[in-house]
Amino acid sequence: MNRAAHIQFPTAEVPDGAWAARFSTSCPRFGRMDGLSRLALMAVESLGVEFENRDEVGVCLETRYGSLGADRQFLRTLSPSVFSYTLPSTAVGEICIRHKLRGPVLCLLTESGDGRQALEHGQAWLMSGEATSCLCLCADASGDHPAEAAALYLRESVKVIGSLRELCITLARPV
Amino acid sequence: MTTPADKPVAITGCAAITACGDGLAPLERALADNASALRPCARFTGSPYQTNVVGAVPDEAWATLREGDPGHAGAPAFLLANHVIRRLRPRATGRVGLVLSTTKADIVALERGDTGNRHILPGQLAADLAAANDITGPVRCVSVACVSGLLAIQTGAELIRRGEADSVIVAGVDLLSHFVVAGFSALKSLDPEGCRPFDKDRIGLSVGEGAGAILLARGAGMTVAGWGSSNDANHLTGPSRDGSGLALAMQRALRRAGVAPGDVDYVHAHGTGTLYNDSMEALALRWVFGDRVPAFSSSKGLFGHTLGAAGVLETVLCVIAANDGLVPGTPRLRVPADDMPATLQIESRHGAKLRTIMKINAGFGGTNAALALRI
Repeated sequence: MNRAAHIQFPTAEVPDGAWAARFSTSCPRFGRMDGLSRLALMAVESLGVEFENRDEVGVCLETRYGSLGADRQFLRTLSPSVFSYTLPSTAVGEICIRHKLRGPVLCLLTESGDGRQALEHGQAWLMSGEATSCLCLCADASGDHPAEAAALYLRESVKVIGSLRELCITLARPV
Repeated sequence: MTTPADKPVAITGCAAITACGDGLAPLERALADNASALRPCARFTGSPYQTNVVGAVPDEAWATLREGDPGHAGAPAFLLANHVIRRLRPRATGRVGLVLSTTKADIVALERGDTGNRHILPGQLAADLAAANDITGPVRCVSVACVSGLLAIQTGAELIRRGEADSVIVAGVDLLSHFVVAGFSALKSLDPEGCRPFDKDRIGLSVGEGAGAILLARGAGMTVAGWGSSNDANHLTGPSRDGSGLALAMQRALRRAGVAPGDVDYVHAHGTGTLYNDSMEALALRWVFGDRVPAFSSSKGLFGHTLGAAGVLETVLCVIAANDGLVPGTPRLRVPADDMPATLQIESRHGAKLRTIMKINAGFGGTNAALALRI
């Protein structure tokens, strides 16, 4: 069965308080990650999924601002630990490392960042057999907008009629 | 009877601008001569840079680009990418799509504090390049570290396979910038004298800049027969020590292409010149090919590591190699490291017939990608 999650914060800043405690033993560097990586990990954690066939699980992230926050921080500090986060796909890497996922990967930068393309590519992986399941995400934690992420664990095809963000808000809504 | 939809997706055109110069001819000459275009560049002299030896697009080529498009003279990523897209656009027919591959887009705009510049965001750069070239089909922007280019080609081939586009221009671009050179300097990843891929004394990479583009369509040419990607799920900035992640991507590409490992004539490797990457690749090659590793080489010593453009530009080199009957050498390699398979190509070899080529890249975040190309 497909599972969805949606999380949002009031500003672009991703607070790590309660989440840091949750990750403290299993992912010690969580607090040192950039906002996008923390947010993406939180969204995947919110799915509550126990992955199977980890070599066949794909991860596709869509984002508008990507690593802009880390880019700005690196230009101020020239810190090597920040430089590692100046790629939007670093968030994909963090997800794969935490959950030991070795399937196909993709990171798409779009003008909307609403996850429509991530969902399309995830569907294509399932249909072509490149992945048996996949994580489709859209996440942003830079710019002037609230930090927001939507995640869908896709195990069976869905009819794509809107954005991933809208779909996850609908599916994740308590009934 | 073969219908157009049954025909495999092929590379029907190529364009490039690199440290070797503008166009394919300088690349052909450099490949044949096993030459290197890495040079000291005054912009990167002194602190905080580890070296000023880079693969910069020649000043005269930049001047020509700016004169030809004064409206974008201050938008270098747009200028470079638009230049190669325009070369291929007249040959793209039907529903035309664009896939842009880049890691940092116009990062120099952020460096100079021009925070409102649209091209700081890669997705906006892709949209503006599509609009400038009257591309109304699907537009994608792929940014997955050093494997961006190969994943962009995979994405373009998928768009055609799924019937969303008839032809797709896949363009890769990245700039030499304070950001990039200072970043790799901070990681102590650069070789002060210029990279020496697969060499026993290798100590780091060399960064470069450029843009490459390929035109994908169903038809005659080198086919994109198979592709695969994977993640090491191991380390953020270093490759897996056993090569299994890259091997997985290669095996996926071969399986999709229906090609046996023994059918591969040549592997164009990532070959950055860093200690761990090159050893990891040697392991991955043995993992896939056993004791029959095909001829392999790296072109990072030719025009540097062009990051988001690397996969596209290096695929262009594979097309040139196949067309010219040439197994490329490894510029700047002097003495192969002990752990390298004996089929490592130091010098370029002429008179070869390459039917099946594998192109591989690996990158930050543990990402790996492979293409199986066939003639």
